[in-house]
Amino acid sequence: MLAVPIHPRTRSYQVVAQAERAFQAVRALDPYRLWDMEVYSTLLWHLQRTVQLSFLAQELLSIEPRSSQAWIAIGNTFSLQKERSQALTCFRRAQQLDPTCAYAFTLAGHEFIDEDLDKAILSFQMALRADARHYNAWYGLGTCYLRKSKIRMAEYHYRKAAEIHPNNAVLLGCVGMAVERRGDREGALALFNEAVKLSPENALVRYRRAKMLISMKRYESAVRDLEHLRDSSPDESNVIFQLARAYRLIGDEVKSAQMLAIARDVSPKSAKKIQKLMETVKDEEVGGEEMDEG
Amino acid sequence: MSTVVQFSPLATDPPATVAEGVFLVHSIKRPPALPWPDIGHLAKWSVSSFKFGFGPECLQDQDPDTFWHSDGPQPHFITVEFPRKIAVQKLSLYLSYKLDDSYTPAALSVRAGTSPGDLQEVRAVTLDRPDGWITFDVSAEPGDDGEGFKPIHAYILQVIILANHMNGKDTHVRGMRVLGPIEDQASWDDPFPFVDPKFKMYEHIR
Repeated sequence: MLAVPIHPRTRSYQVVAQAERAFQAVRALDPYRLWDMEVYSTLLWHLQRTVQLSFLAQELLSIEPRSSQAWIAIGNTFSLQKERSQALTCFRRAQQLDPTCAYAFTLAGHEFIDEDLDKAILSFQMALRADARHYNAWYGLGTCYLRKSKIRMAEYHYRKAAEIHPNNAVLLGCVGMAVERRGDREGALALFNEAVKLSPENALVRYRRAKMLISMKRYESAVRDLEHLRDSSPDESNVIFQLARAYRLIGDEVKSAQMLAIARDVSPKSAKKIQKLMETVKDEEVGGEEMDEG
Repeated sequence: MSTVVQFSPLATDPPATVAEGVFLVHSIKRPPALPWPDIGHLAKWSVSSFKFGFGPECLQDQDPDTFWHSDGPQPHFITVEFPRKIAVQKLSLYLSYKLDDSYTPAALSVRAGTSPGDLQEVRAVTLDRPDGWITFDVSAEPGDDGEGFKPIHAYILQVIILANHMNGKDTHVRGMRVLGPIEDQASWDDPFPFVDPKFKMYEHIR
């Protein structure tokens, strides 16, 4: 039995590639396997492998048209093409074929999330009814509530997800974001620290930690994180911009100006936006404390 | 605030109008493939009046041979009500002077607001013998990046047909689509959308 890395997006890029190889081996050794193929389809979705995903969906459909896995794979194929209503139809069919398949409900929830938050919440709740330990659904609910600006509800659901899957840096980062929006900086920083420790290659939580450090006026640590990020992903405008901001707050005008020039080079379209943002940074310096949200 | 943009299909070839960023004209019957997502299905559509069998459903049915036919006092209008505030970038209308003659709208006004009581005009458009799908921005305010126009955030969008060609009374509209802005994945806190896979892969769990 091959070990199946179930949640590709929580791991580093190398692990995602490993997962893909493992699944390819599974398909070669056991071509009629349906079990776990919905996970493979999501992996292909993340990797945006349109062709492979479509092929997988067609094969699964011809193996067993009444399996939830096949319809989840088809739904993922449509979802990758941004054909939302078609994807939803497929996920609904998967739900009907196997009402205990929590993942089909979760994926439907993810499709709804940009369109109708209430429907998304309902879908995630149905997923939890099928399987209360399905942490993806807890995560989805957290995201819904965060979008509705119900910060405490979001934190509760994210924490539930993190309880089930404690080593997931993305989830910890989400809890951190909810805590941050509630106004608890120290708590958020602790969570981001833990997430960075768990998964040092996760650039997003490191970036969030740096932003947190800036707002706590610990500029030196923030600059260290941001410089690390700039070196690993030089094209990310958010990083460059935050670095410019941090340099300015330290008082290093030269480096700040240099970073702004780079930011303008990386995304010339956003020149006006950058200018506007830097003006608000100036206001921050004058006004001192930043306004808290939530 | 209103701007009137003169539009003449006789004097234009499509690339010129695209470059202006004002009108996109597709002289085909089927709805053209556009980069902006269609958000019309989220809304409740209604019209000021219609002839039986030629109601608002004809606007959305993707069939160029069916049309909304007004049947009542002027002004004629189409109201699109969204359940929540939503960003609207463009409107796409299928009008055909060849088929509809004096029933073809010549002047349109687009209004937006939070309820039927506080609609404000955001865009006025005059058309000269249109034929095909005509796509235009709902706002006239230039965007931040110096290209295109800002989307309008509203609950309700209303298209009022102010006048028809040759002073026609009733009006025909063969299709209408409401298009949202191209998805900008920037989250609420971060000024730019993430581009590097090292960031993007950690943004969501699925």
